[in-house]
Amino acid sequence: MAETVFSMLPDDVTLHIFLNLKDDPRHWARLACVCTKFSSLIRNFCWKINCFHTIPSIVSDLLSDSSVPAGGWASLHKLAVCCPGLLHAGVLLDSSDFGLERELGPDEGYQITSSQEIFTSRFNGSSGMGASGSNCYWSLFDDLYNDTVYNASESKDGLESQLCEEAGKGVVKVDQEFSSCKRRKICRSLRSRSHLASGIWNLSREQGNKLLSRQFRDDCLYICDWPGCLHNEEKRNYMLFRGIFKNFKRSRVYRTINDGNRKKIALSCAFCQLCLMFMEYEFGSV
Amino acid sequence: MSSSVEAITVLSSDGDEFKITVSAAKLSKPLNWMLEDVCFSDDCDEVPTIEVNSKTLVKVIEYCEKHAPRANSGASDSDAEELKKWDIEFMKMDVKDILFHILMAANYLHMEGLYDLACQTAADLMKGMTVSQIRKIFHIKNDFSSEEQEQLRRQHPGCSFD
Repeated sequence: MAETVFSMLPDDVTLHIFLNLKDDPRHWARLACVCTKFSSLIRNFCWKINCFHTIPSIVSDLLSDSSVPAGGWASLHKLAVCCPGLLHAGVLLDSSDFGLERELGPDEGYQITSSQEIFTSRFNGSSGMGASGSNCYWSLFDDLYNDTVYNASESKDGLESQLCEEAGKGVVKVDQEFSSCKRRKICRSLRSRSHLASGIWNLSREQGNKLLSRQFRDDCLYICDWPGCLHNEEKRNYMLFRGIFKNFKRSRVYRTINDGNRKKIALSCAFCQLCLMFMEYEFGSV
Repeated sequence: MSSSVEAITVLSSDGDEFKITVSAAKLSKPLNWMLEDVCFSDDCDEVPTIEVNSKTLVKVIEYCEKHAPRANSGASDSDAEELKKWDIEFMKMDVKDILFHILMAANYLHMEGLYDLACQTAADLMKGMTVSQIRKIFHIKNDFSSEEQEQLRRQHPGCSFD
């Protein structure tokens, strides 16, 4: 019999089967790679339904002027459930594996591009979140410049060298600084790669407000709940927050970053082609 | 509705006759409607056809007869436990030959319990499987274009797509 079993099934039956698999996002991620029918059902329905179900307020806020969120349902869903790991979040470690080998799977059609600007929000000290919010300052990739080896000659696979090329396209040329970088020990911990996010898969504006310093309070930032994903590295502990700005290009944060002589680097977004942002909360050295 | 009959006769799509008790037939909405129809009164000998093949209909009727007593009268916890075990055994069947026909039959006959059970069974078969394993189990053809395939490969370097 030439026809496949699923070609006989109505879409609503197939969807009903898929909805039994919603507890682990990796199931859908794999299914989206099986065939075009699955791929289209997962992209157009499953992830959408799940976004509406798990992060309804963000969906309605982001959808105010379109029917699909910027970057698509896949990106929004992935943002809610997937921590990209330190490497892909911009806290670059010298490693031969660039963190794209994933358990979760999907970028799902969103090609990584080089034009994204991702920022780290860095807070000093180990005080609590509320207190630290007021004395934070924005710095772009301090860690990149100070701690990270970023040398194409050391790359062991294509992905990494691709990103190095992309880095070269950054607004500020960083080649010389790279050469003077202190070398960081190779870190290959599993947690440096993308993985299912810990904690509740939710993003909220309240959390975003807590993280933004006062001057940026008018911006609309949704991030995951405190404490994000904890990443313990040799010298530091990191908390990775996943989040998204509404109307990022019109936000104060964006304007502040664009003004002045701030250091920038182009880095691919872990989720889509659009401006999604990671924040790094630094505990200080261990 | 006729009160005199205890079992009705239906035809499968292959033309075979099957008997199903009234209480079991009530698990299906369309069959329940049929029961209210004159067809099942004593002076009518027309046999309704159900668009389900014989092999599948046997299983569907087996499920109905097993679940009917509980559906009609409620059941104790031990009964429910026993029924669950029975369901698991019942669902051990070939994916292509039976499971998908059961799915379609349950959908067509509006049998919520069997439909959920069959969907859950199919979903469980997908859990923890690789892309290629899922294709194999469900006889799915990889119909991505070579460009799409290449893109998937780039995005999921660890996945096997063959």
